[in-house]
Amino acid sequence: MARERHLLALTEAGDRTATEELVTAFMPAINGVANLYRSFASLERRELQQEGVVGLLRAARRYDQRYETPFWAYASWWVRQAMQQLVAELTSPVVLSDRATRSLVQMKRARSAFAQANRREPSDSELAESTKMPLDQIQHLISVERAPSSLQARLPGDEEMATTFVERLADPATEEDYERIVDLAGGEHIQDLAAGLEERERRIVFAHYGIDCRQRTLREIGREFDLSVERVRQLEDRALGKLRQAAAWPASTSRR
Amino acid sequence: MSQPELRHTAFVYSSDAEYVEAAADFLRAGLEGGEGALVAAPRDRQALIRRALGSVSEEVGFLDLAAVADRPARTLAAQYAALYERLRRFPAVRLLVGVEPGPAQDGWLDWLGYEASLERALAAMPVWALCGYDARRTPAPMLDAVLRGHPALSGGARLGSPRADLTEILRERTPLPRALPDLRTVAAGEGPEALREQLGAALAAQGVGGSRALETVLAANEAILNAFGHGEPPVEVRLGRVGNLVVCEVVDQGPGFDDPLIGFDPPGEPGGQAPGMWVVRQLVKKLEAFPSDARFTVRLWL
Repeated sequence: MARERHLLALTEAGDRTATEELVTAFMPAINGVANLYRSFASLERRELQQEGVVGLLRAARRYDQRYETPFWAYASWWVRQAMQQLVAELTSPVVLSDRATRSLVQMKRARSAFAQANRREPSDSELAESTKMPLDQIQHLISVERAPSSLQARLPGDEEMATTFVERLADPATEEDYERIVDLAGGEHIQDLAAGLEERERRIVFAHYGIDCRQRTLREIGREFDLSVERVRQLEDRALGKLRQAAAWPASTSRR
Repeated sequence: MSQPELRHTAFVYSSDAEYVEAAADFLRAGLEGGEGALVAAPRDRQALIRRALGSVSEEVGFLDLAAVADRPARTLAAQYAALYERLRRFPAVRLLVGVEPGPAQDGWLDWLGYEASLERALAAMPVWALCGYDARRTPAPMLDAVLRGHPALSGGARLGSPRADLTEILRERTPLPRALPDLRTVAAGEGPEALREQLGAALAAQGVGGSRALETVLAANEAILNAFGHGEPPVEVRLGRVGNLVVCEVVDQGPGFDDPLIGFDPPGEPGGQAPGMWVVRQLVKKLEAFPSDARFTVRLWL
């Protein structure tokens, strides 16, 4: 664990040797995720591995060691998402040959590069020139590209189960890990919400709405605190106002 | 020089070196002109800029933008707070935004919402926002929106003319909310307090506790008050789980609103009174608002 943290720190600082060591260490885990996509015949394992490494490094840049959640619990979600993006690119409801699918991806990348360099979309002939593909092939690819294609589309041959790409690719376990760390990352804000309440205010709100305890009516809460219903309501209103204000403006995250 | 209004420029780069050069030049020019400087970017971009600026980076504020994909409004709030603070000390501020869409399939829409909100919220402020897009990692639809929707592009002409409105692009590209048949009505037809109580009971029954339960009650309460104040009763609250998220709908009989950026406009000085939908945005991961069957639904994802 200490070695992993050391590698992550060096990777974030741009150390190439550490980055390579990190990738090597997590390659078996990346391969494990890649195995999930082996049923997609149009995907090469090498391509999945490459995307997995991209996802791993993306995670390494974002991972915050303060939260003490295992790195892979966080990174696996990014690895999976990176592979999923490749699946989305290379797996289309429109039936294309393997070669045509790759040509389509090549054309899309050429278009992005052209737009970036020239600040405008390329014409068909400019695309043909930059990709070295014949003009009629480019025009064919553009027409294919415009065909409806959606991750919500049903998988071919899976009509009975009505499974979509998204459903097939979702992994509740990794998403849960991701959600947990996202919640931790915003944890200061969440904790701040109730931190500004007096203890009595906090207990009133939590009891009235049954948060982590048995839900009680204002009358029952009044009896517990020896207060009138109206007084409990006033205290709750004040507490909700404080919570509202705490929610409206998160603690400053500005760092000098 | 002080800018009388927002300048909003995009630049697309394809290498870290290109990014650092443009970013550092932009920030240095502002600092030399007596302007404030703020960098809102993921941590790896921040590190590159710190290194490039050297000791000058001490004069620059840094905000971590990695959370935009999770709660865009919370990031915007932190950014506005930092901007307001600098505008009290400087005649103008240069804001460098390092854009990196999250990996979710429609994650780039969060960024587009962020960009559109930024443009609307800062329209009358002496701020120059330079938004950097990495051509290697930016999804094609996002790049298209950037090239068509930014008022200015660093070093080139805009794609298409006249300029497309970022909010309109967002409206066009946002998919229609999908039906969620598993949601159940947990409260209907009563006042805000009773609706909150019943929502609290339903959350506990579904095993939702802690901060998520508190946030759901608070966010739903704002949507409920909004429905009573601007919509038409009876108001209904629906609840369920979708994947790992809690989904809460507040439904009223009114016409609702048609603004994809509702709740993103900053409510003035930090710490001041905030509108209900701003509070909702701060609490939720995603907000959808849509009419259906002569009713209007505000759907909250937490």
